[in-house]
Parts: sequence; structure tokens; C-alpha cells
Amino acid sequence: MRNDFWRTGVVLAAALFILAPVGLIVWQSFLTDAFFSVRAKSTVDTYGFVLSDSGFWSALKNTVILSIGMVLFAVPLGSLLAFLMVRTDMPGRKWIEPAIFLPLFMSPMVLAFGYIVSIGPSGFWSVWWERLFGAVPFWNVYSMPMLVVVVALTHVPHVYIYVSTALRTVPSDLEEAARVAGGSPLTVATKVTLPLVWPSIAVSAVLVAFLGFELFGLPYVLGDQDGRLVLATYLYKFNTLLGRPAYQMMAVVVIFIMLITLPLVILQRRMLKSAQRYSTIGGKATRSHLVPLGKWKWVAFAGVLVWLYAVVLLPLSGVALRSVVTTWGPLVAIRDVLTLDNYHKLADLPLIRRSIVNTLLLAFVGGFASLCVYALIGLASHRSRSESTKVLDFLVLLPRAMPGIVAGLVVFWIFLFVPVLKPWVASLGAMWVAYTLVWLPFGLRLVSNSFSQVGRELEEAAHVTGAGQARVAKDVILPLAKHGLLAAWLLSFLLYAREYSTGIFLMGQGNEVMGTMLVSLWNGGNIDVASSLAVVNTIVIAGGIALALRLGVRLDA
Amino acid sequence: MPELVVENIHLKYGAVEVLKGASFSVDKGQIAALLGPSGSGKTTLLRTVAGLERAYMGQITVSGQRVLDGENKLDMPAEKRGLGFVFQSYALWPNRTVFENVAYGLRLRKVGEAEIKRKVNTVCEVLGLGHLQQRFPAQLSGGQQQRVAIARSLAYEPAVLLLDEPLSNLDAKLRDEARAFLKELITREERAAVIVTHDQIEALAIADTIVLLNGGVIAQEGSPEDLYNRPRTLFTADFIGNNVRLSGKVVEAGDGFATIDCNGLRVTGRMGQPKAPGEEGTAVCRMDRLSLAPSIGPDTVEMHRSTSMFLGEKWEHVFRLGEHSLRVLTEGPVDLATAPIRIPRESVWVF
Repeated sequence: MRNDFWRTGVVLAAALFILAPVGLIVWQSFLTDAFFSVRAKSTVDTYGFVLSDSGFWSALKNTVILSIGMVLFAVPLGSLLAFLMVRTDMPGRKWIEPAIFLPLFMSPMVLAFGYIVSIGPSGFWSVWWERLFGAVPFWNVYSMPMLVVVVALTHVPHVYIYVSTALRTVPSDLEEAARVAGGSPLTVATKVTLPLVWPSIAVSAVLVAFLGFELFGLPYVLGDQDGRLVLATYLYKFNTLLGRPAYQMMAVVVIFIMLITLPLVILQRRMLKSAQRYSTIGGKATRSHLVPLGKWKWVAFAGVLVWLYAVVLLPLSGVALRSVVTTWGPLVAIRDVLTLDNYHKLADLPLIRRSIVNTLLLAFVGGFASLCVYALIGLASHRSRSESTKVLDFLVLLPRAMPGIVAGLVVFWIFLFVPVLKPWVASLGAMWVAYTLVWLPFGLRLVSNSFSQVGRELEEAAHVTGAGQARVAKDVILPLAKHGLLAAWLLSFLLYAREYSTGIFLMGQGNEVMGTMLVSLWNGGNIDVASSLAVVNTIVIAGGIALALRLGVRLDA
Repeated sequence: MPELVVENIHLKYGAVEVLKGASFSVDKGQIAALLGPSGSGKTTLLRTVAGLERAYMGQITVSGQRVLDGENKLDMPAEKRGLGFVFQSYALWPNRTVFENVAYGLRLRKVGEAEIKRKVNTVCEVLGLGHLQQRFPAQLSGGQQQRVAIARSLAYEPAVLLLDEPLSNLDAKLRDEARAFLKELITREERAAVIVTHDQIEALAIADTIVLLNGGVIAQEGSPEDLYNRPRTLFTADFIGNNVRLSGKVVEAGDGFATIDCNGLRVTGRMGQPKAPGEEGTAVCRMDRLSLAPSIGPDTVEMHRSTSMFLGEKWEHVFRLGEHSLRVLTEGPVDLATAPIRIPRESVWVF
């Protein structure tokens, strides 16, 4: 009698949207050739081939090293940063907070460029160092240790988000009780506060480890020159390595990547659920009493500034400077080479101009369209106790475990595979589908969170008054979740404007976006234009962040 | 035929059986109160009637129309049942004005704009909200919000009105006023109303019928006087009224009355069930019927006063005998160390 068909329908459609790509990958991995080729036969040899390739093992090794390095550096630093920001009287906390989010939303391609033009062999800071000390800098931006340091430092905010959220829920009376009982601030921090946020620290460690397997931009720019590959760049190589794209190899690599990332994602979800169970949220907002750091607060402050310098100022100053000079090297004086030509080129080159317009379109309109998709799925599973919703809840882990570059690849395949879609394979529409798939788990979480904040009785009141499910959604849920949905739209805008790896395989004539354009400009060695485009990209994102802060949108969702 | 008939409702949350065969009915112009301790399933039963919870067995009939029939797999969604529901939290939509809140049910029923205005005006006048129609819920006091919630559920003239603890969010003084107002309104508007409450005073005052629930089944159903004066189970006797429970051995039984001895404290009361001397028994005594007796006589016990408290209107004294204590109210202070306490047998039930 009750009309739940539409819920099941939407959930099934979402499941198809998630499972079709995965199915296609699995199928492709057992073929001798591209799935659309008539010569394709089934085989398991591709697995053997990849497993016997030393390149695969070295890529896997590098990825594992990066991943472990990130956990070892980013987790303690991020936790410490969270503690300093939330629990101590460190100066400047107010303006440091937004700065922490900047590396989170900045394109890794921009960061990577930034490091090359700042501290690369003939980068600004390298050249200045040489002039100042008369010696070649001691660092090598292309070395493995440097890569570990860079990826670790840029992932500190991810840890910060989880740990700071947990720290804010620790009622300060727990700490005060320990202080009254005779504990020094340090003892209290380590013996009382730390154990309470351990679960969140552990969750963030798993997250960071997982992100290590997704890395593409930074290792691509900083590691590729020495042929140092990680799994994602190894996958990318197969596109061109054998003269034509080796889809079966790529499928097998994707399967190996997901075999690692999927358990991590599942583990993280489990831990997150139990962490929430142990959280001490009391409902009433207690004003926390800050731990006085004494003269150490300046040491802490300096430490945070050094970190911010390393992950924001250093790379950004590099691209910004590089974008206004014609050339740069050891013997060049800045005032001789200053120019705005690079920015003129942005407007003059149709390709670049289009990429800017496309990005804005995709981020703004596409972001909204994706939000509508997420909202529809969110409504279908909202307050539903049916089995299909539980299944969907689990299925969204699949796209979560899919690095952006992989999602782009499979959406590309889907468009090749389905005859009706084929003409659209290199369109902005295909790009949008891939983006929507990649950010489905995140978007769905945002949307569901804002829906679940609408009081249950408010919906039931509309039901008993005579409104069907559609009317309740239109009249009660959506208007009351408006602010949360707006925030989700803004976050999708930021993420879509930043996205670079998802579009790599989908980019064709006419659907260029800034992120992928940066990758291909880097491939072509066009540093001048790449730098100015990177600056534009960063300005768009900074604008989005400023708007979000202005509207009171929490960026650590 | 009663306006609302609820028969044999069974409902499970997962593996836990919350309702195990609850039945009751309400006539037009009458108020039934679902009363019970927390966890007895009273709110769940009300929500099942509204269609907000799904029973796996049972029948519900509203104005002669079946809305739930477990055997024939009929389970109308809430929006098709045409009932009025007042939530404990009032559940007023914060983004709509009072007018829009009240008008919503009429809009859903595609009533013309002029007619909506007229009907909303009427119901708002009745509830004393006439001047507040353009306000938002957040700008109203608790009592006003409650009246908006009632207005919203009355505007589309449902035959049955369901109210989930509608008075619990009001302060004590307002609650008394609202109670009288609600009773008057429902009688005048000729609705059948079901009200959920955990407050027996409220139930006794407002209801024509009380449905007392315990652990998902109906412990007793009847008029307030019935439940107060003729409890059929220990649970009912103990739940209604302000009582003291005494356990002991039956020493005498006959003629509808039994006497039990609780370590020296002897009480006589009506037998709620047949009792024979020698059996274990429990006596439930209405606390407010205890009094100081001028001298030892029938139904009196000599007890020691251990402390006295001044409550403003009255004095309360704690009297002890052995391990038992009773609280007795008097008009004035008492300074006797021991006194005979009268425990009238009409206000004691033995089970």
C-alpha cells in the first residue's frame, strides 16, 4: 500500500551508477584487448604480466613508502596542530584557522608546480639561496625524501580536521577535574585529553594512509623526472607506454589499487563508527579553558608559521612570481623579465580560455547538478529502514575507494561502451558524470547530514496533515535543510574547481578544465602559462573559501 | 459505531515486541487517555494509529473506514488517514508563519484561497490566536505554540484528533488552563480525541475513558472513576493515585475485605482478587486518605511520629512502625510522639 517504489528505484539507479564502472573494470581486467575490440578474448594472463613487471613492484613500493611516511609525519603534526589550535592560548589562532584549510582545497598540481618553481634546481628560492650562501642548495626537490616531506606536510590539514573536531567535543570539565586532582597541564594533555581523542587520531591515520594510495599530482610532477612512479602514475603511463592505451593492463592495476584502498576505506568507516560511539558529546557547549603555554606559545606559533610557509607561501609565491616573468634562472634579475604576457596568453589561447570557462561552469552549474543527484539519493534513503538503503550505504564505499584518475578512466570506458553515450565521450557531460561519481560518497554524506538535522516530527507533522513523500520533501525537508545544501554546493564548487586527475582520460577537444589543463601544460613544458593558470585556479578557489567563510559554512565537513 | 476503533495491535521494533495486542475505541465528542509508565508503548500506540509506525497485526478503523488491516495487508500511509496529530514538541514548521502552518492541511486539500483564509481565521479565533497569524513559531510563547499546533491539526476538520503529551511542555499554571480549554474544545468541536500522557492527574481530569497500558498490553480500560475506585490489578491500583505499598501475610479474609499483617502493621482493604488467610498479599493504600484518628478504633494503627514538615497549605508527618513508614497530612501541627493512624478500608486494595 505504501508507495516506496520510487525509493527502491532511486537506490537501484544509484547502485547501477556505482556498480557498472566496477563491473566494467573487472571484466576488462580479464580480456586480452580493449573491451570494445573484436580481438578481445578472455584471459588471466594480464594479472601475471603486471605482477611480473618490476615497474609495478617499484611503484607499489614507492606508494607504500609515501603512505607510511604520510602517516608517520602528518598524523603527529596534525594532532599537535589541532591541540595547539583548540586547547592552548597560542597567538594568532583566529587567522591561522582559515589558512589551514587552504592546502586542503588547493590543487596538488598547483602545489607541485609551486615547489618546482620555488625550490627546484633553478627555482627562485634555490637561486636566492645560491646567491646568498654561494653554494648549491642542499635539497633536491626531485628526491624521494623530499617527496615524502611534501606529501606529509600537505596532508596535515586532513588529520587536523578529524582531531580538532574530536578535541572540541571533549568537555573541559574532564580536564579541569584532572587539574584539580593535581595534574600539570602537560600531564592532563597526555593522560586525559589524548586518550579521549585517540580514536579520531587513528581514523585520520587510516584516512591519510588511504590518501597516500590516491596521490597523483605531487608524485607525477615531483617524481616523474627520475622515472619514480607511484601506482596512480604507473597507471597513467599505460595510456601511452605501449603506443596505444593498454586498457587491460590499466584495469588490472586499478583492481590492485582498489584491493588496497577498499579495505582501508572499510576499516576507516568501522573505526569512525566506533569513534563516534566513544565520543563524549554532552550537548551543552562548555566554554573550554585554554591551557596556558607560557613562553612556549611563541615557539608553537613559530612552528605553525614555518609549516604554513612550507605548504602555502613557498609554493604560492613561486607560481605567483613565475607567472609574471618571462624566464628565470641563476643569472636573471627579476626587474628585467617582468611581464604580464602570461596572463594575456590565458585570454588569447582559446584552449586555455575555454578551460577556465569550463571549470567555472562545471564547478558552479555542474556542482549544483551533482548536488541535485545527491539530494535525490539522500531523500530516497532518508529515514528509510529498508535493506536496499543499507546496501547502498555500503556500496558508496566503492567510489570512495576509487582514486579520481580511476573514476575518470571508467567513466571514459562507460561512455565508449554504451553506444548512445559514445558521441559524448569527450564532452563536459562525461566530465560531470565522472566528477559526480568521484564525489558521490562525500556529497551524499553532506546531504544526508543536513537532512537528518531536520526534526523527525516536523516531517511527520506534514505526513499526518496529508502530505505525501514528495510534498514533505518539497515543503519541509528541502526548505529546512537549505543552509546545509548551500554549504554542500559551495564545497562541491571548491572540489570541482580543484579537481585535476579525474578529467585526465576524459579530456578532449572542447571539454578542457583547468586542473587537467595544468597537467597537460606541465607535460608540454609550458611553465609560463601553467603558472599563470595555476594562479587563476588558486584565486578561484580562494574566492570560494572566502565566500564559504563569509556565509559561515564549515569547511571541515 | 465509535469514531475510532483500534483492535489487537501488535508491533515490533526489531526483535522487541512493543505492543502485544492493544485495543480501545473512542466515540465522537469523547476523549480517551492513553496512560502508562514510560516504556509502556502508549506513544507507539498513538503513532501506530496515525500511521507513523507500522504494526504487523491488528485493525484500525477511522469513521467506519479501515486504515489498517494486518490480515489483508492494508496499511494506509499517514497522509491518507485524514487524522489530526499534535506532537509533544508541537513540530511547528519554523520557516512558516502561524497562518501558513495552520493553512497547510487545507492547501494540501486544494481548498480555495478565500475559503482557506476564512477557515484559518475561524480556527485561530477559537484558539485565541487571531492576532498572531503573521508571526513565526519562534516568536511565540510555549502556550501559544501549543495552541498553534492544535489549530493546525483542527483546521482541516479531521474526525479524530491524536495528541501526544500535548501539555508536558507547559509550565504548571498554564497546564491547568490548557487542560480545561482542551477538554472544552474537543467536546464542543465534536471530535474523537486520543491523548497520550504519563500524568495520571491529567488523565483523570481530561479523559472520558482511560486506557491504562503496561508493557504493551492494556492493563485496564474504563472511566476515570472506575480506574480510581475499582482497580482490577495491583498495577492499576498502584499506578493510579498517590499510594503506599505494604506487603505481608493475609490473616483474615471474607465479605470482600481482607486484612494483611505486615510485621505488626495490620491493614484491611477491599480484595482485588480472592484471597485466603495464610497467603502472601500486597496492600495499596491511597496516601491522601490517611488521617489522624482521635482514638484507637477500627482501621486504625498506633504509630510513632518521626518527623514533621510544613508544606504551606498543610503539614506532612512521617509515622513509623517497625520498618514501615506512612506519610500523613494534617491541617495543623502535631506534637504527639505516637498517634493512632486511620487507614480507611474503602481506600485500600489487597492483591
